[in-house]
Amino acid sequence: MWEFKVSRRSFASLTFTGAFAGLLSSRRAFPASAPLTARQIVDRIKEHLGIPWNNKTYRDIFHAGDPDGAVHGIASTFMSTLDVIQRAHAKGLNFVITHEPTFWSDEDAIAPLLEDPLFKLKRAYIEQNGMIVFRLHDHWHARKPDGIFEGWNHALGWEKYLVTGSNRMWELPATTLGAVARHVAKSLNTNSLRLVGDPDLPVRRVGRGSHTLSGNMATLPYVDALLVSEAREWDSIEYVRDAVLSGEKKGMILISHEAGEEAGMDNFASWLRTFITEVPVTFVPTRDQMWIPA
Amino acid sequence: MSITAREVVEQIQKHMGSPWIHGADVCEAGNPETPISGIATSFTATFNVLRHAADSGHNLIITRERPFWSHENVVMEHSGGSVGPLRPELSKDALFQKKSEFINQNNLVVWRFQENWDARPVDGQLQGLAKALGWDKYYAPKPDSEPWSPGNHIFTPPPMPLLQAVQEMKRRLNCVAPRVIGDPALYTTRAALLPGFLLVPQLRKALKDPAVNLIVCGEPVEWEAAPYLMDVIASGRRIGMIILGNEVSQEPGSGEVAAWLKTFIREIPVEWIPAGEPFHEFKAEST
Repeated sequence: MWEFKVSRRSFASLTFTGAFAGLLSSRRAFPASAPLTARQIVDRIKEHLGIPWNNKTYRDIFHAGDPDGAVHGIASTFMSTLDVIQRAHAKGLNFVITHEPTFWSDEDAIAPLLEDPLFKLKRAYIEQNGMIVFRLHDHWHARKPDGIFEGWNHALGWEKYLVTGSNRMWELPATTLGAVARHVAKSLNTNSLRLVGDPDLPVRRVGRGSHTLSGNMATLPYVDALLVSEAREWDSIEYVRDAVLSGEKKGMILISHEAGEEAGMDNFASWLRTFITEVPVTFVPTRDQMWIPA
Repeated sequence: MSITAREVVEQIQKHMGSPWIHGADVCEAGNPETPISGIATSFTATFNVLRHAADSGHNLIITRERPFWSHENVVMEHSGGSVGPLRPELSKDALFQKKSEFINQNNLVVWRFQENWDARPVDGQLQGLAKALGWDKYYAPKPDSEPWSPGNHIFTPPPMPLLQAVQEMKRRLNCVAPRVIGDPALYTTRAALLPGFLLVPQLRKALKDPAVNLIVCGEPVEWEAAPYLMDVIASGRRIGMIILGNEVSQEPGSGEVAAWLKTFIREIPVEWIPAGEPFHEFKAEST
């Protein structure tokens, strides 16, 4: 969601957690009959991320279910929508690792929702079916390389175009804004792409935009077009529209949050399989639920 | 006899019928003491709106959104929100400077009118969108509250599938990029109109009417109200959502602002200049 930076202080406090997690894992090296718990899997993730865990994160936490419950299978997904949780349950995957919120709030602010019928239904579904939901957002972004960006870049087939030393810019063979947009829509399998600017605009350099105006303002001067996964209409989109109307040769390809990050959780499933071998790990796509009529 | 931008706003304040809220509605650009020869209203003062206003001599532009995009230190109520770039940073931006220069060189004044407009007992944004959709005749107000009061937003248009409903809206509102959530074949009969930014509490309130099977809104957050609606669908309720876009859903409200201003500003012309949808038509398949 929003950019994440590990502070110097959290780095220091985290080394200890890393060491502790290491201890736990050495214990697991002994043959054990007990099944893996969700908490043990999260500990193993912490250990393999290669970055210190920020204990102050309000995002990367358990959302629902029993963290000490036994895990039979893991579903990795962009967002733990009710539909995703139902599909994971049908596949026998009772541990859902989601990139985005479960209860429609970045801070997992559930207090105002406790009497909400949909909240009650969703939480009851999770608990009654022995499901467990954990969010992995900040740390999957903070990992080097950014696990979401790595998957996205791969889904676009743009690894070879990445500007050396940058993780924000691609240099494409000469093309147009419309052609880039069609490639993006096709490779990310989305029907809700929106375009700001002239489809015939010549494009070489594309920048990975941001959810925020500050981020988009910082990148736009260096690129022909921004590729943005969800930004607010009153600021980022109006800014780029004004840049175009002022005569600048710029464009913006706007895709859904899901289309921009889903591949990053497919990538997460592949990474997780390299060290979780006891239970199946499956990517369960959230799929872009939005569509624009032809 | 001339009237200044400040005097126009004083007239607006006088006609509000309630005490003026001193908050967001301030002079955003230009000099408030500028003599005004005409008024333009718009969702937002894009470069094109400014050009059109300058060309037609409508040098006071009254808008819902801010000309320099950022909400600066105002954090919108959605989760994970952050403050936008602040004025010291914004003013270093080349586009900011270009836009400021255009405003100053053409003697334009941009004044925001959102908070006080929304505080009126009649919801002008709702009324504007309903009229633009041709839905005012399908209005189904609650019997226990005033028609067109905020939150009294239910309509019963002719029943039709969701796909046809959005195509009809595209034609009516002349827009290219409304996004939809839900089954295209879903039969829609009862709609809640929620122009503008949509947060979960407002959506939950609209869903309390169990017969509502269509939500029409401007812009939901894609980790908040949008997935909330997806989960409502997954829980078994037959419902869809048409996401018109912020500009498309709110622009007709600026037409209402112009119509209201004309009832008491007679010495100078008042014109609604729609900013237009920010998006260009996009076809996934090459033609």
